[in-house]
Amino acid sequence: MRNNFYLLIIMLALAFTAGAASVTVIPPSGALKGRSFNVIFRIKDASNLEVKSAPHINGCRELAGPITTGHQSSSMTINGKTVQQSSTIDVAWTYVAEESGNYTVSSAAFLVDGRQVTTKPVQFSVLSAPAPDPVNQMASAPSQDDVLVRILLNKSTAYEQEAIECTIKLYTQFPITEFFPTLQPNYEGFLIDEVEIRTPTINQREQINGKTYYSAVLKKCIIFPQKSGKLTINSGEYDVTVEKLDRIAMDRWAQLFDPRSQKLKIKSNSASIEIKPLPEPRPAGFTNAVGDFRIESHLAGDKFSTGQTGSLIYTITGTGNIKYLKEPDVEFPSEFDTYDVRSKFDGGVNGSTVSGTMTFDYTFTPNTVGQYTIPGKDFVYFNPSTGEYKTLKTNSYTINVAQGEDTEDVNTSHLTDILPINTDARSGNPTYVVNTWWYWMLYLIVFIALIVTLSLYRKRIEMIHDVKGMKMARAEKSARNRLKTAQGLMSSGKSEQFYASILGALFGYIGDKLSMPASQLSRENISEALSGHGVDAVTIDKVIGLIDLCETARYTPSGTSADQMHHVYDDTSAIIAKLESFNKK
Amino acid sequence: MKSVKTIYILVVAFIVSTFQINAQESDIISEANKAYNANQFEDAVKLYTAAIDSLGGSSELFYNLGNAQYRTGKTGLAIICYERALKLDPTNEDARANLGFLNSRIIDRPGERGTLISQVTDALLDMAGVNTWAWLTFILFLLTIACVAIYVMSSSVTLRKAGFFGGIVLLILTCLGIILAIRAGSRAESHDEAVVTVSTTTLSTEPSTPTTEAAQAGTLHEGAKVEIVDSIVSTTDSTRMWLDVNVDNATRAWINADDVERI
Repeated sequence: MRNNFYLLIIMLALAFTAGAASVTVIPPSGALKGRSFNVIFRIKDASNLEVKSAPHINGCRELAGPITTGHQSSSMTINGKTVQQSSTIDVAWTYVAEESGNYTVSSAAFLVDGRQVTTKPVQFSVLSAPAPDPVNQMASAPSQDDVLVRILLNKSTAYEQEAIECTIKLYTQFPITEFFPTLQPNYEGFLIDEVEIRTPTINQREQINGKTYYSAVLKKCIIFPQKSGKLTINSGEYDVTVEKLDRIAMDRWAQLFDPRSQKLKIKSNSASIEIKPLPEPRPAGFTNAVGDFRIESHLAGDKFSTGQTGSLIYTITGTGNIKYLKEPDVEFPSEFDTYDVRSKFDGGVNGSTVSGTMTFDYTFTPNTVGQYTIPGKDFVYFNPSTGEYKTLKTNSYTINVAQGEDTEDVNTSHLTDILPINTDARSGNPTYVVNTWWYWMLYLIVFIALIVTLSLYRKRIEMIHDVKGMKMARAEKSARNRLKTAQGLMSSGKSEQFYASILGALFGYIGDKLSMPASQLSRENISEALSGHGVDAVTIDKVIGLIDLCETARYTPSGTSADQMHHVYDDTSAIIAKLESFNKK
Repeated sequence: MKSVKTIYILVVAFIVSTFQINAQESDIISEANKAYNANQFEDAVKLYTAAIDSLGGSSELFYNLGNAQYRTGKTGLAIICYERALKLDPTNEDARANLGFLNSRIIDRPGERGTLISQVTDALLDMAGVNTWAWLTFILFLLTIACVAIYVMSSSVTLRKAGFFGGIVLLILTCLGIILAIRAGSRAESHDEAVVTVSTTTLSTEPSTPTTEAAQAGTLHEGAKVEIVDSIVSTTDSTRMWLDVNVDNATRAWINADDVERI
């Protein structure tokens, strides 16, 4: 299951990449019967190509093929390096059809970068009537001399890095039906900036060696020699099919043309140029800039703060090898962070040289507050038209860097050196109490102490409540017991003890009932406390009167009779009963 | 802060009463100090290292060793020493100042690391020592207990109210204190941070020496601090140990364990 899944992914990937490196079939347009025509297979972005099976056309005869021509179509400059973006390879077969009509190019198979790509069949038609040709008025047979390819340079000597215009031109005396470069000229030792010519058109008349030719610019480029000495551009080879019309005179007014095509192999001239080295001594700061330039610089922004990026922009405008200029080596203060320089070229071939604007963008970030100077940088170039070196000065910039908002304290330090050592240093690993068991035990101990304290406190409160309740419940009983004792004392005539016992019974009863300690029992307190418990004034007066009587009698034992004692006993007994009834309400 | 420190000193003096200095100890440290002040920094490094190994490293000893390492040109090792000094005592202001100075001179700028909460917590923890947090929390706990006792035992309504609300506030503070104290304790005893000790080291996307440009995840220079997440002993790559590290919140890569030292 999993393997199948991977297989599917691989197949999908193949399908997508096959779409990327495409093969398009270009059928001939306006092919004529009896004349050769080409079927072109155009493969894009292929680095390795192999023909697996050639196409064939039913009813047509194959004359030649496959003829492979390569062409690199676009380029891009990144940081001064030229990177090829795409390439095109044309594979062509030449056929001739004896009869007019519709024909089909069968599918052909190619091995593109190791993968097989098969084209679809394509239809085209072959016409019977020859297209009228205004160019051809000649009747003589074509020869090697009739078609020429020339490599032309606009100067015979040049300095290293100087722009040279190179033109490849086709001269012909006959109409051309096919033109195939089989060997492109080789520009070894040069950097090339090509002018794109989509379809060469024959549009000029020129005289060469006394002969008149029609000419077309096949290719135009600006080349920059990279070394001194004699440099040669090798000759190119081309397969050209020219068409000659044999004029058949019918009569004075009518003419017939019999088209006859002939294939020619043309070899161009090779062009040599003497490259002079740049004059010595080369000034300091010269980085192979040859041409005529102007330089400008400006700072983006006027306020700078730490941690915020700023930009210094150098703009070089001019003509020459501007596309290949190295960025000026600007020296930023060491307190600045700098990044890769971004370069941008805007321009192209202009006449016989390359002109445009090269922009270098230096991004920097100040790290510390202060005043800094970015020194100006001399830009040195060689002007080949005057043969002299020229130095251009650029501005130096003074920048005040303020404290940025976003800078962290970690990144800045007010110190200029480390602080001195601590001479009181002592050794010893510290103990982290949070990582010891006894630290947490302290919490537990304190907590347990709180629980214990609280429970003890509660128990005591409860006990106090219990004692009170018990006393209250047993107040009457203990009072009655004391009265019984008093009764015994009364019958035995011990009057002093009798009164003390009566007082004890009274105080004890009131103390227990009202939960008042004995020390607080006085006449005033008792009357107050009793009235607070809702005892009426008469009863309170009786209680107070009884207490007074007992206390008086207690200290005057002689003045008491048994009868009085009996009376007191009865009163006390009645009062307690009365108080008890109040209590119960 | 000062009163907290006083309490801290009193409590520590009460509890850690076994702290003693013997004669040998003061000897080796004073020798080291002498060597440092006589600009014999190599000797000072050896002596301080010996003192730390034999007697136990204190914040001040690591601070002094850091100074000596810096003087011998070992910025990465000096940064490790200051980091250790601060780990032992976050209130060592000298160590903090010197660490800031060194960090301002290294090549790599520290990126943002950790969440906002962890950054705030760490900044708070840096304000006091580990044990200060512990005892502060314990005092808060005692006060909480006192409030509970007041609430339960007092007969005055005002005092009971004060005890109730004071107790709730103090309980929350105590819980926060416990969290901070535990974090401070674990932070002080963790060794999951490391500092680059070689002049440059290449980060790799996999635990082996990067062979292609795609496998390179960047470069770190001496003194850069990383957080160790994981480690692996590579069997294919000449049996070296590789550490999975966080450089900042955006960068996570593998680093050769020989090029860094744990704090």
